[in-house]
Amino acid sequence: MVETDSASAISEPLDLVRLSLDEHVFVKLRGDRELRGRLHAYDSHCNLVLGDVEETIYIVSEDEDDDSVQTIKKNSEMLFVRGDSVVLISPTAES
Amino acid sequence: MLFFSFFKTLVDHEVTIELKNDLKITGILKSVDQFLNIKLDEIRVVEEGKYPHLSAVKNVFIRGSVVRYVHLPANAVDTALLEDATRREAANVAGKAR
Amino acid sequence: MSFFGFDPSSNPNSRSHPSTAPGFGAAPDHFAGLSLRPGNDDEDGIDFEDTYDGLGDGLDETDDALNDDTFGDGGAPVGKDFDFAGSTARVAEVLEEEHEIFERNRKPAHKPIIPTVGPTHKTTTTEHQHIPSLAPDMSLWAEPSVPAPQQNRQPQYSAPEHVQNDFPTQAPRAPPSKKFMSLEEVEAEILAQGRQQAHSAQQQLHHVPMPGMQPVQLPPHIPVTQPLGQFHHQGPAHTPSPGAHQQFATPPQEHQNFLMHQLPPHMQHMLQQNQNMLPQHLQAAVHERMLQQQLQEQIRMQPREPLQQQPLPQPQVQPPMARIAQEERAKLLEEESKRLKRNHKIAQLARYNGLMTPQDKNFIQRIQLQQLVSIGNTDDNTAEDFYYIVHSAIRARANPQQPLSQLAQTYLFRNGGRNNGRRDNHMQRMEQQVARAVAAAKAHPKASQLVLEGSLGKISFSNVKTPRPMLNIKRLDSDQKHLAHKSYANADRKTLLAIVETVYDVLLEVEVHERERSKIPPPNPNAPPSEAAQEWEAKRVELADRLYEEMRVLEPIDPASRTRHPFIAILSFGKMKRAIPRIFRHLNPEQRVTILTMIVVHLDVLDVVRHGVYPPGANQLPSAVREEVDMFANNVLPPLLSYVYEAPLSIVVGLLGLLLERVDVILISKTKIGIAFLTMFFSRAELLKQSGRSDEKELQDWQNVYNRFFDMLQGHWMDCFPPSGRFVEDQYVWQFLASMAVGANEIQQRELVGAVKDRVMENVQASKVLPPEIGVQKRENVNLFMRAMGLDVELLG
Repeated sequence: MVETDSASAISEPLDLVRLSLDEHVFVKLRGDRELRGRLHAYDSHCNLVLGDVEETIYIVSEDEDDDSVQTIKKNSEMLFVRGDSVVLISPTAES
Repeated sequence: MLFFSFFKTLVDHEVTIELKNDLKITGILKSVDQFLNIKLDEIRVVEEGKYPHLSAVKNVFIRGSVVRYVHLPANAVDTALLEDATRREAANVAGKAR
Repeated sequence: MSFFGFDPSSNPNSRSHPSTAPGFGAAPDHFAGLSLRPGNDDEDGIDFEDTYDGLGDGLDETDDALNDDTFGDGGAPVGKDFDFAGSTARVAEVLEEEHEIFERNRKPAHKPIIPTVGPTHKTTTTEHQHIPSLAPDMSLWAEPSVPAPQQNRQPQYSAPEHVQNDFPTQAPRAPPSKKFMSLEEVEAEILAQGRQQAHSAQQQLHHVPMPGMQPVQLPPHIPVTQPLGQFHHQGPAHTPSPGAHQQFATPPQEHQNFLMHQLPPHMQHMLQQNQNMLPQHLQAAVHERMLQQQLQEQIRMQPREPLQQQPLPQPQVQPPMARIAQEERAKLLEEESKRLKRNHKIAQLARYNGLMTPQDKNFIQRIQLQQLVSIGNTDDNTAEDFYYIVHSAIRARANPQQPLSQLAQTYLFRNGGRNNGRRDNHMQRMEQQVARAVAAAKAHPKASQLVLEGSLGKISFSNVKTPRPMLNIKRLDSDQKHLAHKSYANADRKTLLAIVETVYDVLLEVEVHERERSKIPPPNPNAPPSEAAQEWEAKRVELADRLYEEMRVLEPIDPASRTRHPFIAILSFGKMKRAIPRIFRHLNPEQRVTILTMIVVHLDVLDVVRHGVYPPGANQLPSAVREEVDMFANNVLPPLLSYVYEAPLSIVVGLLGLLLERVDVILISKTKIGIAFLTMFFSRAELLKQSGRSDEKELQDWQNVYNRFFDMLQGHWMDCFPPSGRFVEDQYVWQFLASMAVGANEIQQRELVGAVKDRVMENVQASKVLPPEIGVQKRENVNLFMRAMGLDVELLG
């Protein structure tokens, strides 16, 4: 909010996240989970609020057929994500 | 303080909290603090059968750090305002860092 | 084991308190034994002789009469196995010492005693009952006995059997009890007690367990009041009223009178003297004091004489307490307990003293001050809790009439935009505009017809004067203002997003600044703006200009380039669309018209137009596109509309000319947003034409532009409609057709009706099948168009 803003718009890592505000993002989480949704809020802890989220959970079956990976998809209209689960945030083209 | 501020507006709304141990609890958000610890009233566990020991519990205090998600009612969230608040927060943080 | 060799337990029956007696306070009972004992005098004499060491020769014996009271009158046979001299010799030194201490302690207490004359005198009816406990001997022994070996006496208080045994023989009993003290004990105790009063108070604790029994249990010679007082000392809450003390204090006179007859002659004499003094004082408490005083003086003067008074050492420690009037003592005790309490409190409070250094405190104070300052600063406050404050302000507004803070208004405005409210509003305005144009046309059919007919003949496509000059001015203007921005030709998504975020940064800053307007006094129209107001306005203009600049509106337009203009590019982001109404509030009219022009010039490359064309065979646009289109219609169109609705004909004509020249009109006519722009311009132009205030040249320009458009769209009218379907929303197309039809001549009208005839019939049919509400709406939509040409759906059957 000062004169250096235009120059410093992307000076810090979280400023990159800021560019994705109100845009579709891909979020990778601990525990083999991924989220896709519109980013409505974030803070320095990577706490997030996402809208129209699709969550994908990958479950590696513990059978002998190790290769089979089951995926579960869930949807949520508005989701708060606690930052300590977040691995990465990336902008995505809208699906 | 952004999310503290945010959650304060959700007090008395029904939310579903998903913990890192996969337990999902639906209840009325009664209070929240700066650590995003959360107090829920009139709770019910989403997969009751899986956690029968919680069936008698009516309200809970949840330590913020064990939360994975909070599912929110979309109509209680003003996304444009929230985005602006996020921008302000980012500007504040940047301003403090400088 | 007793001092006189008297074994208290030897004859329990004779000594025990008669069970029939009203209580220990019943004097006759207690002293009954005295008169029955003939050997009293003898035994006393023996005592005296044995212990007399000549020191008493010079003594005034007047008060010796009290000795019996003090030491007992030989209520029981006394054996001969005592050795006063030996005993005394053993403690002689201590006695001396103690006497000295006693004197020292006593003196200061002397004075206040006599003046404290109690108000009452032997008034109580219970006197007799109290006699035993308050007999002079008791008070006499007050000093000596209290500090006496606690261990020894305790049993007397705590063990009722003992008391019963002792009672009749109180007098002899007391001295023996002292004898149990060893010299070491006495010394230790004196030292301990002499050192501090508090310590003695603690010792008195031993009496506490039996407070309620004290009056009864205490042998008469033991100062009831003292233990009581000491007890009070421990628990100030229980401090009895002075009257209670009085009860104990008053009886002695009676008691003394009673005793007189039984005492040895010299003692009687002494008592008589005391009695004589009584009338003067008429005060039980004082009397008691006097007795004590006299006796003690006597003791002082005849140190040898009261060998039995071995226990005397103690009095020297306690006298101050004992001698003070009971009221005073109570007062003192109370004060003392208060002091102790206070000290205790202070001690508790002081427990954490010294934990923080002054620097620490300074540090904390600074933090607290900072917090106070930040609380006072609303800006910081809203920065910390922005979402909650604004959100609550919006939601809490139960009454829409209630004024909102400007902060909240900013967001309420947008809030309405998000909920269909604004959209309806926008559509309504569009419809109203068209309806007004239609109504105006119907009101002046001849005039418009004439104008139309008149202009028809004059139309010359070749020398149409397009509004290019005006545009050129704009372009020149922007060229001049243009600052050396880096090229956005290859701007990627990230760069564009960065631009949008920068725009938001400035926008938020402008809004913060706007709120600060409230901090300066409102402008006075009669006075020049204050310095603060001027500064504020300058800053506002500066910020608004920066905002405008950050939007890259003034980037040069390169018609050859295939890349989008940066402003148009950033406008493809939803968040930029949503920012437009907020931004418009801060821009000046020139900036607004420039933005409008920029959008018009790039209408066919706007994302909402490019993506807004229905793909062949598709019944619907992709949801993401629909979302963007809605967002554009809800956020970008309204501020543009409000500008166009007030624009003069020249501007409208100029913008339409731009469309003709630079934009693929056919393409935009296939999209909702494109049609919205066309409707906007045509309806405004028609209204201006109807108003009759425009000059001939403008009207002619307008007619030329209109005809060009009409010709261009010939054969594409049906493409304006979205793919047909019963529920398809095509109101905007009917509005557009209506706005075209109003300005059309008869031939054009006929062509128009012919082109969309199928669609009209389709809608009329559908309106009959559909639920009434939707049906009526559909019918109305078509009728809007029909009426523009003086027709009606009803005519179609």
